[in-house]
Amino acid sequence: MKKGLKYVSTRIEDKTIVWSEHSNEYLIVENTTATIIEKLYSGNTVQEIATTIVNDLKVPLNTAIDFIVDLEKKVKTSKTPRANAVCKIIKKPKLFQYIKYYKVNELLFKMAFSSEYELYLVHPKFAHLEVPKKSNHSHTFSVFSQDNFIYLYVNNTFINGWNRKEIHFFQGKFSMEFIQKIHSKEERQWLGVFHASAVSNGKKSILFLGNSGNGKSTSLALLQANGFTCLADDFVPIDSKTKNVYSFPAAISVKENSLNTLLTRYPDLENSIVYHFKELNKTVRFLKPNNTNFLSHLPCKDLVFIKYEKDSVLKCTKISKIAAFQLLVPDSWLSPIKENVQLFLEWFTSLNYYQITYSENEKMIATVSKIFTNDL
Amino acid sequence: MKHQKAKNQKISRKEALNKISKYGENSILTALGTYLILDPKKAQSHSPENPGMGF
Repeated sequence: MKKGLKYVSTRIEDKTIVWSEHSNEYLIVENTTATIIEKLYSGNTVQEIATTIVNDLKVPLNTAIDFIVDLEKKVKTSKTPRANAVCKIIKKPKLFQYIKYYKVNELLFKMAFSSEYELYLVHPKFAHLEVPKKSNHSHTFSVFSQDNFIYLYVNNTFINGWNRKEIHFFQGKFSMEFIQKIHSKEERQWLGVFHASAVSNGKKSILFLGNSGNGKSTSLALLQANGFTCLADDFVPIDSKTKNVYSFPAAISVKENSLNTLLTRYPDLENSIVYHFKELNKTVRFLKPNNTNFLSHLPCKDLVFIKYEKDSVLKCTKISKIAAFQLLVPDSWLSPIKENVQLFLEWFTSLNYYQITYSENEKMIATVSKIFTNDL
Repeated sequence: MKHQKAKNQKISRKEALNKISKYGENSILTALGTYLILDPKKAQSHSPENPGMGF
């Protein structure tokens, strides 16, 4: 194999995680297999490696060679990297039907939307940030559509265009650009963005993960009503320098089936705007986060896979890091820069992982409180 | 060499037999050749439930 290919490997529990730059894939392999891959990446020949493993594994030389050739083929011919393709630059229109101004701490943003369609892709989650028209804005975001594609400019820089069928990637990029301006960081300065909810006690944060509908946002809203602070919902960025969870100013999305649970704590939700998703047959409302400092960022030591299950008895168990890794990675954007991958794996290894299944809110809140105070 | 994709960890009986027979009696190599590939998301994204779909 060609020497100099970039990879990162880390032993976690009884396995090794190997990441390769050319495919941006993470492999979970046996430690011995990882050693062979590391030797291949270091430029050792198949013959050299086979000679070293025949005694350890007590296999014939030819079989060892077949195995290593096979392994090399797999590692080397892994899918080609996904380029961050930028589409053809489309000129920004002159007229925008909707202009909104968002205030994030002392920073003012001008958001321009060419029609109601673009407005509703973004504004509902950030409506609580809206302020009357101001002239001293720091940044302008412009969103418009053309021929079934939606486009984004930040100030006068063309960011990209997305097919309407991939609107969640447009929304993700919009949020990424927004967060970069809020925290004055470029994309290479982030370790990743997690599809999670982040709650804090003012000193540190806990991340909640789980499939859509498992109760991440509901748990966050319940904890927010019980003295904790909402740091981020649905989009949780972590930076590479401090490895802290950074605040993201979006509102908490509340689905119809969580409404009754939350109405006692948030009676205003009853009369809040209801957004309908015809295709998904769902409705959602947005709950203002109680965070007052959107520049805040806090360390995170605990990650919880949470699941609301009707009538269940509360269960809180620690789960293995390898199991957590398998759940975390496919649902996350992780920086594809080698140095950041190394830092991400170090950060990941340092965390505690829990699984909470609950039906009684008070017990869930009590358990999360104990995780915060290390009393579990 | 067999790999399992994260989202589909179950393998069929046929695949299991192939896996066992691949290196003959050298089950150690079968074990060493079994791994899991995890793909992170290709870009930052939000949940598909966010407004914008099907209004």
